[in-house]
Amino acid sequence: MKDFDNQESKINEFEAAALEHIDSLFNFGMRMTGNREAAEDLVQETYLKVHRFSHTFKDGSNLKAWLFKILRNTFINTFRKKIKEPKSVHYDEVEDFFLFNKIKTAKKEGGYVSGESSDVYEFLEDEVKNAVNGLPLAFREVVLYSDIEDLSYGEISEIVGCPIGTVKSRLFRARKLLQKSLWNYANERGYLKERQEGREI
Amino acid sequence: MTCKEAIEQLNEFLDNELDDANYSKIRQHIDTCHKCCEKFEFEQSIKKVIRERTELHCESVGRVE
Repeated sequence: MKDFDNQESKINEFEAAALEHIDSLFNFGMRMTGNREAAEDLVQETYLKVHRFSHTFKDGSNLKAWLFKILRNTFINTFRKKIKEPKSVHYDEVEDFFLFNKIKTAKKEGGYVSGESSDVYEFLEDEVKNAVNGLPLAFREVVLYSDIEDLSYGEISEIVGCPIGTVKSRLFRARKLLQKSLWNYANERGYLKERQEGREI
Repeated sequence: MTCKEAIEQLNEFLDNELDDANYSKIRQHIDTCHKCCEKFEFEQSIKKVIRERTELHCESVGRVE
């Protein structure tokens, strides 16, 4: 009886620890599905699996990475999405420091509307969400794991089942694409004005 | 350390993936190189903005019963 109680309390403890990550999982679900209801279903399904497979979790291993792995697999199975590197994305044409250089040039030419000190904060506004949501899934997920969840390259590699080199390459390319996309949004939203000669920046 | 070497490790630096020795070398370079400092700070702020604007607020998060 005592053993049973110990076992029970261990499971409760484990599930309580797993529940601490619910906000992160929901946020990820929202960003991957773009839909609140779908994200809630995804998280619910994930926790059902956590409950069912809690005995397979190895003590001392990374709980957050384990949870994300389950969520990711559930997402793939539920939405029948394949998360693989897109072939059609031309990230190589995006230079290093794309946004930094664009803003610098625009400022020099008097075309940048925003203030001096907090450029990025003013410049990006809500476009950030659209830019992240617009990334191909394989790129979007690594940005979410790294920038939002602070997971290490090693942890991300474990979740997505790819070598660390692949994780890094996806993440760096994703960041380039994000910068390009943010620049395009900024232009559309009129953060930048045309130069006096009438040429576009 | 040259600017090129520092920039090659920019992402790893921002993502806290470097060991202490490499981190210190880059930190030292950034502290003395204005051009790199500007770029590192810019990229750091983009990372921060992405985090702040993409993360949902806790109160808007649905609960799973």
